[in-house]
Amino acid sequence: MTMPSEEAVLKYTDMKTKKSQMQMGENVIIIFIFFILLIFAVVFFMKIQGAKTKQRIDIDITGRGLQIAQKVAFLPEVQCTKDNAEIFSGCYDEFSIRALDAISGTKAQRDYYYDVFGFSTVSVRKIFPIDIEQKPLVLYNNTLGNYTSIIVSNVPISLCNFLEDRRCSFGVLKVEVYT
Amino acid sequence: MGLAVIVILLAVGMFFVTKFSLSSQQPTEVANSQMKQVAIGFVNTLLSTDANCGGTATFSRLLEEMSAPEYTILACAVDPDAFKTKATQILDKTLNMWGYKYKLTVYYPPNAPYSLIKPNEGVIEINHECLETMDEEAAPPFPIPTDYGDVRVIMKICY
Repeated sequence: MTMPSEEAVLKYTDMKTKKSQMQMGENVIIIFIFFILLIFAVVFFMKIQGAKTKQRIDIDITGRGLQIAQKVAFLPEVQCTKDNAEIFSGCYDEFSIRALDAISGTKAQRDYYYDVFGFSTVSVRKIFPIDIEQKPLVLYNNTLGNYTSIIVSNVPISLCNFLEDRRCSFGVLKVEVYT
Repeated sequence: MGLAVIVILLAVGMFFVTKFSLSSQQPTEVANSQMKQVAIGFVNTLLSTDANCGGTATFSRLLEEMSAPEYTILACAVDPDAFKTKATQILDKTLNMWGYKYKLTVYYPPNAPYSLIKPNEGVIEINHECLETMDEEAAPPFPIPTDYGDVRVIMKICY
């Protein structure tokens, strides 16, 4: 049996080493790509979660705006009543709202309604019939000092004047919630 | 082997992308419920609003009187476009400004005089960017009784 020459052994070892190096390089590239894809997946997943959380917060705040609108609808201070009974659902007494507008800037009024309305602005605007553009009547105004966003909810309401001409105007109850 | 891993990861990635893009286009149940509430609240308020027609006639009364214009005592009920003109003024300052797409339709009973004089067979329609292909949330029909049957007012919010 003849022994392989030293040159052949070296060549064989060199080839084996090169093959191993190539395999090693391939593995490194695959691991690199794997981690890149993993990073993409994590970033994408976090984006989805972020978007979903924001959507949930928006819905929550919009819901809070509508909740406040509902609370306003059930405030005995602004409801249209006859013999202590509500005349019809969604009917607001214009004179009562004007009276609330007159005191809406006071600290006493803010403190009194804070538990009900929190940090928000509740106002009413007459839309139709209208001769001249009127400024909105503010029922409550408590702005959060350094708010990051405002969510606005608009609810159509009947603004009735039963003392003078028994007419109802089309109005909009605007609730702005500060976060 | 490495290639297989990459393909699987890409497939998983594509699955997430598809799922996210599909789910973000559908409005939530809360949004749908809000649209329905807006539709109901709008029609309810509109019909009890003073139509600015003289006297204390509401939009509901205006629609009732428009069904038989020859017998009306309301001056503006003689004009077949009175409701559409006045309702459009309100819609411009409300639903249009709030970015809603909607369709407000009033159906007159077939034997009402209004249905006979109008070429569109007794239907008043105000359509703001509502297409047939769109989904919609509708308020239940509001009936207004007249001598000829019920006038029905239907408000649909499209999305």
